[in-house]
Amino acid sequence: MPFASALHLTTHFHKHGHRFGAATENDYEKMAEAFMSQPLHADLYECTRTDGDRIRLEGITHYYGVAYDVTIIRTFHIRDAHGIAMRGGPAGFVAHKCRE
Amino acid sequence: MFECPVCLYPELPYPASDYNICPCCGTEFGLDDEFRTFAELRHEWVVQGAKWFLLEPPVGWNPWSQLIAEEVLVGENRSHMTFQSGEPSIAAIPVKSIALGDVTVWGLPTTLGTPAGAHIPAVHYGIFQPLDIHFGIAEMVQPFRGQFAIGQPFNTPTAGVFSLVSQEPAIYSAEPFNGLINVVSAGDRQPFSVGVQVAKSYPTTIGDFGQAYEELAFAS
Repeated sequence: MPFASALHLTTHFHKHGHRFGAATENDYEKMAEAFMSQPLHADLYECTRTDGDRIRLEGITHYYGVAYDVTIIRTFHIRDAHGIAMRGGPAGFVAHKCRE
Repeated sequence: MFECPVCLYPELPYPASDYNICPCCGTEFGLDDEFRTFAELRHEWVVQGAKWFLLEPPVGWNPWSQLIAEEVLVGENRSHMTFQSGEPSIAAIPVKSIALGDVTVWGLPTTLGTPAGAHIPAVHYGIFQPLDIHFGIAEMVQPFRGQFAIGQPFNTPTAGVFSLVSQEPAIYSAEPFNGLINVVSAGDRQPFSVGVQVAKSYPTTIGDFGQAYEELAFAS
């Protein structure tokens, strides 16, 4: 499940990779793939937008990912707690992102 | 190609949406603009030095000329012109709505290629319309603080962004009028850009100039 292009991966790694402790673009991409493909569990919130984007937020770590066409990752980063709290918590945040 | 709505980078390879990230300013669309406007993001980018985000910038890339070209830094009460390398010249920059308040002349020599420590072409200026009122002594703001006199060549002590602010706002009529500020280039080796701003409360700051701008404490 890769990013759409090398440039997409590079820009996202450059912006977010350090927060995951990812040393390389490849490491970062694998973490994103693992996050978006892992089975749902109690703390993992997911919804699918009408445009097909699949959104995931992990309620404890605040890891956040968006993928489309099942296999293409748009973003993988860590949300700030304040933004999640503003939407009433992880469930509310994901629901809000799905409505946008 | 697309244009970044934040930094105005004209070669954004994808739309400014869907969590795409501008390689120039690093804005991620859908994330960074959730709670901030493009103008606010631009302001943040500018005051942090308008640095290129992703690895190395393209050869010749210049954030200030990018912004100036899109007239982000040239609002209604701003105008500017660029002197080309090695061309002694004079230009009268029109200024609108001069009234009580500060007038600032600003320049971006470093960002247009002048190396640190280099000589900057002489700049002098004056307002000649409509009442032939000369715009007298001005004071440079930091980091190049000093006196500036009408008709006298002005050399910046080092390369860098400079800005001048009038110390005599009260000489002007309460009725706004249009004027001209003459800027003279001695024809140095490097191109540079100068601008004129009639500033009451213009929100944009530009890098090092932005720092100086903040110190101007323009009256609103």
